[in-house]
Amino acid sequence: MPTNVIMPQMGESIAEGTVTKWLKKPGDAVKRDEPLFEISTDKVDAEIPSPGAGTLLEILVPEGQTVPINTVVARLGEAGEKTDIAPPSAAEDSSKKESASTAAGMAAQAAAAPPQAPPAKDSLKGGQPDAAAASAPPVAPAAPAPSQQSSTPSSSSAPPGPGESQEELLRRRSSPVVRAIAEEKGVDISQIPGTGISGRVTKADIEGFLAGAGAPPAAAPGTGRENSSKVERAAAPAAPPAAAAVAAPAPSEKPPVSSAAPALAARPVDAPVPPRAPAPSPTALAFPSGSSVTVEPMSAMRRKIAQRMVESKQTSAHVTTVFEVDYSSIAKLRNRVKARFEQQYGTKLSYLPFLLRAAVAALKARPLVNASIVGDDVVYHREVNLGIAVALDWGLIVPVIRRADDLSLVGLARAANDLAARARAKKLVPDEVAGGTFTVTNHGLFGSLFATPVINQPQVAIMGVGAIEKRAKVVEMPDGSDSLAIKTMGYVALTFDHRLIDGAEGDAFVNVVKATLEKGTWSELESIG
Amino acid sequence: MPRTVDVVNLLPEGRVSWDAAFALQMEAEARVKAGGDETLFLLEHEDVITVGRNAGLGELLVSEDFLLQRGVALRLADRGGKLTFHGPGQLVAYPVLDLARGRRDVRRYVCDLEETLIRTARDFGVTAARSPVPERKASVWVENDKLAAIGVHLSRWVTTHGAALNVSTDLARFSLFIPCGIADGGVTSLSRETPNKPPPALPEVAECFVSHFLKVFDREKGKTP
Repeated sequence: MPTNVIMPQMGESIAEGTVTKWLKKPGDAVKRDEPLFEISTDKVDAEIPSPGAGTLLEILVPEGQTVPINTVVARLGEAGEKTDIAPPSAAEDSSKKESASTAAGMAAQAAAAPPQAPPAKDSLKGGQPDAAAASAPPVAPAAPAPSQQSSTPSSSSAPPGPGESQEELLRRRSSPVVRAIAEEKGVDISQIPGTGISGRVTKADIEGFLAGAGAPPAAAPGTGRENSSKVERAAAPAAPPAAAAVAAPAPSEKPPVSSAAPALAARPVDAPVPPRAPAPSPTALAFPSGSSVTVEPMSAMRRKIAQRMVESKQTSAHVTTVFEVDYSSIAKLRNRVKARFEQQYGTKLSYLPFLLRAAVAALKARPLVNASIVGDDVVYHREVNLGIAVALDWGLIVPVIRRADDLSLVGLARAANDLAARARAKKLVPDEVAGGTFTVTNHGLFGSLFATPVINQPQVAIMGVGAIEKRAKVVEMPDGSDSLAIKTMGYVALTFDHRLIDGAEGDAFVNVVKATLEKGTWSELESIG
Repeated sequence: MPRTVDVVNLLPEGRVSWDAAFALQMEAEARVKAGGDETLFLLEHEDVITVGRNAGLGELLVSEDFLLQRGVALRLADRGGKLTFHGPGQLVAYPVLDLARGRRDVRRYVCDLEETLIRTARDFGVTAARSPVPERKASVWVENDKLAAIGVHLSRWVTTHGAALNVSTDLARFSLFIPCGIADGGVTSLSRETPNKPPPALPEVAECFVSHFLKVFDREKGKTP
């Protein structure tokens, strides 16, 4: 008879665990107490020893999956033994039901169970919405739902093996009185976590289990082993060992919020809970008492922006250089193609993608501007990840266009419009506001001619784009005489960190931006004109 | 009668490589599994970035070559948690305890480690706390900045790895990767939180840590080799 291997309970308030690694493959011989698999809960990684000797028959819960405690994760038995018969009856509605019922047996915590990772959109509200810098807690990929096992009953019967019988297993794990109760109530003892010596199920355990379950669990009738789920066999053997756990983004490294809450409440040792943060001592008010004021607390985002801005000013030696750029040729091109562009690509063609493209060209030409300072080292970023400052009614956020150097003008236009729209709709995912290597801020949208923006740490420069407007400029005519002309002009400012970038380097950067905007060819647009 | 724990303070020996500390822990783990005394290691590591089981190398922001050139080792660690950095100015505590001899509860264990760190920080005038944010549990924070990291491995209820408290750590090292996968929120240290005081010395912090550890975990100090 196969032996069930279950997800153990690693602590009072812990309702589930994630299988991080199988140390054995199906078919491998396993000794009793030999490490069989590894799980993780909270920040703890634990090796779980085999409950018995035999052969690992099948793995029911693949690596990376999070399941409630007491879920059967594998079966052990004799070599060649098939996992036993599942009489095809309604009672054997299999693993899904089983895990539900055992979880219920473990009381309320499982009832509150997994809405797994929080939906990404909440990150801007729930997390620390963050301004001028990359932000928000990364959302782990949603964990797969517990027990997705299919319940195909296998057809072959198990030849009773000579190894450790279920009887023996039960005896080892329980006293006669417990076995009697189990028989009477139709409970599978191996499904109950034991607190007695070497994990034996005590009378208190089984009574607690029954009390928690309310009724005998659905999986109870018979041996409790009838749910011979055949189960995603492919998953386990195919799962690459070792490195996989590291290389793959680990699904669900966090238990759901609901399980964390009771844990905090039940926290045993911290009777003196320290205040969450030192309350800043109320300093002398900057206004005379009796003056008419309204006081309101800063939002989390506001505080974050405030902190980041001051930190940046204290970190970097800010210097700003300003150039005037002639947008006339781009203006002409844009006017000619913008209607068709929108029709063809479903997104508006503003000046921004031209500026982003020019910034990418300049960052490629002057990689120092795409760097960071780490200690005494200069870290050059190989990728160009462009942050775009987006003003919100409630603050400011800087979504990032990743690998902007790989994008065409159309790609940049789309990415920029999409990120800005989703920023305003609070629909960004955390990854989209992290990892920028350079930032562009388009303050000209509001009529500003030029500005001296604050660097978005740990970057070393930020480009500010002033209002683009028609100006009277003196131009030299072919015959050498001077004349007034109407040109589409705007200022482009670069604020750079003088710790790393000298004036000449900053100017060289903006000169590439200027040259690209004034003399660049935009072949992908020519075709649609 | 509280159980005894051997407190092994390696700080006087100078910085310890991650590999050497790991080997020591393995020996201690074997002793504990064989019924021997528990051990608490205290030490300062050479520069190393360790990658926990729940991490991907994508959270490393620089190449491995870059780390090598800077003398920063990179190690995969069989502990929970994601990426973290150990190096000069950081107090590392590796308790090798048998949780099966007490309450078998990993969450309680982590909570006790947090408590020890919080009390230690308080001795140096720093108010640290647990975070209510689920993603940020199992570490200790000063407002939005992480002061100490926790990552634990458990084998038959015997713990290895543990906690790292930034005392006067070069925090710039943490910008080489995304610490613990938390992209917003920074890192901090005892000395950064107390700018008007001289940075605390590691042995002094270690002494406070040990005394809180013994109280929180209800242990008695055994022999000190």
